[in-house]
Amino acid sequence: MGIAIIVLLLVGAVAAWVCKNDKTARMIALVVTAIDAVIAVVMTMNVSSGGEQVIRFGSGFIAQSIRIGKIECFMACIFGIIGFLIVWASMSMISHDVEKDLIPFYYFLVLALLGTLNAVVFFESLIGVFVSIELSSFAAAGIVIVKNQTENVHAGLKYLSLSILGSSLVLMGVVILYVATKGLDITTIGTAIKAAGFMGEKSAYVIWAFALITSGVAFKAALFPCHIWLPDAHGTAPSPSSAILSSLVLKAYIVFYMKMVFGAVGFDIIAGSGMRILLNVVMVVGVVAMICGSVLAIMQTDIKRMIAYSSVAQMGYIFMGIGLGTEFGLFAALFHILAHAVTKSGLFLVAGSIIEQTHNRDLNKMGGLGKLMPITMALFTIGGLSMIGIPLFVGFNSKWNFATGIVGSSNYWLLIPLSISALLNALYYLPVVIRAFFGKEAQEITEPFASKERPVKDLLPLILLAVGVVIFGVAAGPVSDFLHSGIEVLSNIGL
Amino acid sequence: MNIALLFPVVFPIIMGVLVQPLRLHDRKTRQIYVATTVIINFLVVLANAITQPDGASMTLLHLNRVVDISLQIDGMSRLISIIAGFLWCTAAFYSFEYIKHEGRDERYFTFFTATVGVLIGISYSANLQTLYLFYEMMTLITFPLVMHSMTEQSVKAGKKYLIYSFVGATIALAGFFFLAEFCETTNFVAGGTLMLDKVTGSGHLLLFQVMVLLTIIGFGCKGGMFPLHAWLPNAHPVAPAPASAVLSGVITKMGVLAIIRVIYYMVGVEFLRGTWVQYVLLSLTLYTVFMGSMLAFKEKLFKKRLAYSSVSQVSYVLFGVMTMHPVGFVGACLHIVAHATVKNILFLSAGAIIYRRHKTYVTELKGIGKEMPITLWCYSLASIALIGIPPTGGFESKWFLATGALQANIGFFSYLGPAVLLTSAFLTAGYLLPIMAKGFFPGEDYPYDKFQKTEVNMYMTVPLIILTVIAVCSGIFTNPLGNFFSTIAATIF
Amino acid sequence: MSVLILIPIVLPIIAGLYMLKRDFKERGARERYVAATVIVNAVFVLMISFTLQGAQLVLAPLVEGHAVMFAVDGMGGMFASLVAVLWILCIFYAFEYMTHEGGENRFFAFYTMAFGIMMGISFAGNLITLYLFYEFLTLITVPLVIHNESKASTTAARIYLIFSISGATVAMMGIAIIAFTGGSTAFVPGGVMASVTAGASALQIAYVCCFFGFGVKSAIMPFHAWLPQASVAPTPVSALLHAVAVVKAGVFAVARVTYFSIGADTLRGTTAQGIVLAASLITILYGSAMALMQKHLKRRLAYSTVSQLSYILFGLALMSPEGYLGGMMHLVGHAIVKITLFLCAGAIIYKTHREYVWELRGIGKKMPVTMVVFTIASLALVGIPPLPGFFSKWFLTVAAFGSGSSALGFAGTVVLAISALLTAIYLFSICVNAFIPGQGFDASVNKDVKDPNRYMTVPLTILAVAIVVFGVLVEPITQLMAL
Repeated sequence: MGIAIIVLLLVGAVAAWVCKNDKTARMIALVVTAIDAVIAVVMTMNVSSGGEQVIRFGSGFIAQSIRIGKIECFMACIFGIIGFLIVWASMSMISHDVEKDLIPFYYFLVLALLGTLNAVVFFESLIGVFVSIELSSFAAAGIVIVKNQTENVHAGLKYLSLSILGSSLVLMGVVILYVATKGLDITTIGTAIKAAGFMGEKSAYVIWAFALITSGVAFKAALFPCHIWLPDAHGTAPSPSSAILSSLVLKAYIVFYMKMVFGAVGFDIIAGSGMRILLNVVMVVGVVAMICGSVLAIMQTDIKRMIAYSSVAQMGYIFMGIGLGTEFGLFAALFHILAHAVTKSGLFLVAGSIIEQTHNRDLNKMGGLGKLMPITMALFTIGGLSMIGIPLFVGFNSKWNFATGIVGSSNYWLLIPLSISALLNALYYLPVVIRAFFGKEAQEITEPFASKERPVKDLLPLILLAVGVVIFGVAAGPVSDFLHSGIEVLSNIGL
Repeated sequence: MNIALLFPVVFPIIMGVLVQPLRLHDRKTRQIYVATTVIINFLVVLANAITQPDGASMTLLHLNRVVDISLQIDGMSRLISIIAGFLWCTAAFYSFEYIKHEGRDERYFTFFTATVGVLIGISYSANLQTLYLFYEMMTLITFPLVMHSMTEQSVKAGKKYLIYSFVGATIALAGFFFLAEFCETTNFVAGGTLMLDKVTGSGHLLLFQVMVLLTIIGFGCKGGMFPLHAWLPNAHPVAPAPASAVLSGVITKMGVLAIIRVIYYMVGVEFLRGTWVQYVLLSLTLYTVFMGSMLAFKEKLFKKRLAYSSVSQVSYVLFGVMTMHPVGFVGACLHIVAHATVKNILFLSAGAIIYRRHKTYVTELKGIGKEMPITLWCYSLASIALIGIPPTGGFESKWFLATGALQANIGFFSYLGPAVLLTSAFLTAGYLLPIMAKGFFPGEDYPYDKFQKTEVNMYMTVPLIILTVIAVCSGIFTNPLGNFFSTIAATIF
Repeated sequence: MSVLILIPIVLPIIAGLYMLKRDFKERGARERYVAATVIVNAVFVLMISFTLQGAQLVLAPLVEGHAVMFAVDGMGGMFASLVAVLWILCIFYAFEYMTHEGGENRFFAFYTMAFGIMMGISFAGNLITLYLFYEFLTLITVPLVIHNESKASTTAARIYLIFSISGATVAMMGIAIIAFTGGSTAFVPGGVMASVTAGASALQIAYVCCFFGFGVKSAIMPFHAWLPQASVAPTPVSALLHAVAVVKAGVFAVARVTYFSIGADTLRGTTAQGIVLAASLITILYGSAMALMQKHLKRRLAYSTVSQLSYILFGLALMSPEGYLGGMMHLVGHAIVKITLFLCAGAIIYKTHREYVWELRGIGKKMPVTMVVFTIASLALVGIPPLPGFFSKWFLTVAAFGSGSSALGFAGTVVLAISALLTAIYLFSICVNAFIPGQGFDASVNKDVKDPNRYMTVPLTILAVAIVVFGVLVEPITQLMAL
């Protein structure tokens, strides 16, 4: 069924492009993502009861395999459901950003992007992963550039170029792993690495390979200081694109990285080898990202750039979780993928709604917006509170998980940056909320009903995302269990 | 599921949120609506306190497999919830009149009403994460009250309040993660559940002590404890007077409650008693006591003087808590009651003066006792109570604090503590009594023939009088209260 | 039968010389004549390459013991076939393009003769022969560089001449040492130095001399300066000679010296290897960075060539079968891709007389064929799977870690990644701007722009298809090329 999703999305993408009619393209995109979501959920239910399976086909260089495991299905669900909600939200928003005759092309890119992201996650054979990564880079840059403004073109090019650098580094790492293990898929590599007790004298190869893969993924997933493309790309893209880019695209590469590190190498080897040093570096850089991303976000005056820098900080959390190198750290990182996807997509869509309705991106001019767009700003508040880590919202659960992971792995000092980062989040999300609801401009509005609110039916996907923020905030138990069992399976790859 | 516990938490929040959608534009209807809400809420709190057994609890949510949101009733919950519920009634009635002068009534009552639910939530919290949840909510929900007037000054103060509160809560949360790791449970269990073996075994004893200290300092922010006190003198005075009253009288106590929960219900006194942590905390509280009084003494702005006074007085309570001795603890609890009522009276009377006479500086208050006798009488009695002149509640609490300090095994602090408390009492007299003296005896140049009686109306005087009666009588009928607090102390020592 | 080897070498030279004398006045006749020569010759080349493997032909001894001789082996045949096929495409393209430059008769005369010389290099049987034709190549291509006789082109030709001849002289010294030490200049797979101690300092010096001497043609730092200058030549020259034939002749010579004369085993792990690896890695980065800074389209492509050629040299200098394979894969892949890029650039210059990258905004809508082909070639050069550049990178990295890996091999992986980034920037910025000019772009500047005619678009399309096919058929091609 994993293949079904990928094929469905790619076929849908072509269909959306071929139809040449913006209305039809929208409908195709909506229906295809809806089906995708349904398949993903069904697949997840199957996997949670049945266990995972690996499908192989082709031979030689073209030999590919697809793993349908719990982590993969978890990601497919995120891609499917959140992708669907974003596409749904884009129905009413996209014509604001993208010219009418480019809309079929836009949905082609979006569906192709979702398809390739699923492929990045599902493929177990590294050639397949790599091809998917490259294709997704192009589609991702495409949905930035499609807005057809000079700044978009520049941002898209910057994004594309650094993506290429990232994927080249990943490729180099993969090749070295291939040289060292003669394996081109995670299972084979995992078997080789685990069987020989971390490869004996070839362990230097593996570490060098992972160093390259790490730095490549750092570019793809915008780990500070390799994030330089992100604020431009996410900040200038059409808002649905920004939502997809930050909540879904970044995550696919991280999951690939997790599968490489924890699937192919595994917790036991990490604990007692040079990989520990590498992961320590990842952890420290992640911490730096948490702080610097937030500090940079505080300095922004453009709402979308602020949210984009916030993503940089959030990526830091995820990398820090990975860097802990323990099962609980990985769990925290995976959970944060969910938390950030749900929250950040909502925030970007809210920002898009605000810009669309008020033609203003400047945070300093958003005073009193809470009176004009109460529902929209309420959704923003929920997102902001989740980011800060207030209980009842999903962000708190994430923070809790990270803290537990940190204390569990005895890296106590990490609690300090974790706390500071949460505080910094408050420093840039809350002022927006305060200004919106208690701003000066609110008093100057003379008309009693000068509402700029978008119709509720257009806001519905945003509301559903906010509901997600709360649901995963108050009842994260089932998801956590699912992830824990998925991690267990992951760590046994190749044994 | 024990709905009775949930009700006083959720009911005011819902009612508060509904103020605006219901479009209660008519003042009368709105007053009835708010009054009904706070009174019903107080009655339920009271009923809970009387009928619910110790340890009655309910679990609201499982955030994840480990973290749940639960409510529970024990001695401390009864105390704080009753104080909050009751003072909210008085402040609400007072607000009906007072808020006419501030405007934006609907917004005020929205947050004012909702806040009491959150406060009951804090007092009913069964574990640290629930406490943290409501604690953060309290910050968010009260800062609109602080910046209600929307002047530049109040917006600035509101932001300062927000930043300090978040810094405090964040530091506390960092420590909380340690507590969660090294305590058997995050639930509040009298006497604490620290796994001492695990702490010493991990080799991080010092780190753990530091984190406990930080947690307490973090929560101390709300209580205006040095070094996170600086927001308080800015934030409390700019709010509308009834909001200042509950901020100073009740909300500061939430910080105290959180500290009590950490020390007595999680870590346990055994771990801290006699360690450097205790001495650091004692020093901080004593320093805050002295500093607050000194600053209040120097301050000319009436409400700000009262705010500095709060800084000082809340640290009396915290000093009692830090003695880690049953008598000191009882003193702390008594002072919670005393200060809550007294500080309400002081702020409400200051508000009445502002409301009627628009006078904000202490130098302007000559002859005010002639013009507003009831208000100033209440003020004077409350001042006496706060200074600690028998037989008011303030005397009893200070007596217990001082004897607690002397009996506790805290070395040098056994003597320093009472000395500082005494000095501070003198300073308290120094900054509160002149207003009374000048108010009643304005001197010869006061135009005795021209003054008008400008007493405020019933909405404001009745709450003042009721509170004053309580403040005075609580000293006379100390025994039942003291016994009640002793039973709490018995469980945790 | 082995005498047949002479045909592809001699035929174009004679045909070219005849053209100089005959001076065709009519375009049609000239084109038929040139096309016939080149096609017939290419057919011979292919025949010889695939059927006469192992044939040898010894001509008169030049100096004692070192005769002029020709031989056909896998590497020579592969190189000859590649050049021959590309020559046909370029000839047709040039027919149209040169109408815009003028002086066609002289141009095609030398262009055709260069074909013969290239075949001489491909089929050279020993270092002496290789050197001989290498010098001929320098001389015969000078008139092509100087073609429009402007001041810039005269300067470029002079620099080209000085660089090439000096380089060849240095290489000659290396060859002399090889001949003196090993006693043979013949090409034998694995080298002829079996009797000599591995890593002997004389051989190391000889190798460094040959590498940098022949490396001049393949624009190794610091001897690269002539190549960007030479981009003033007509585009078919830039495309075929300065992206494929001439520059790859240098690479080819280095490969011959490394794997067939001195021998990789003799050199592996020596200081000489370290020097040449470092030089090639520096050149890769330098070329890419310089390309990024160029605003002139053909100069940008020329610097790109500087960088890409050193990918091949890097592979060769790894001194392992994998390195050889990676280098050869990139030799072929880059040849097809870079010729395509140059021909696209030429098509743009031919139709619009625009030479600078900022002038290309919005051009994609008006010249769709050209720019789509340009984009495909860009993707291939950057290394997007499944196009050729991806497999080059793959094989080169495998080689870098394959046998006797060194710190420079490790560093090479990072250099390749960074270079891919720079490549992406300097190529994609052109593609994206061409198709998405951004709002506020005045479309009227491109009013009269359109795709060139079939003489140009057909070769371009064939090349684009070839790029894709090369990527898809990578498995059989690697088997063909393995040492």
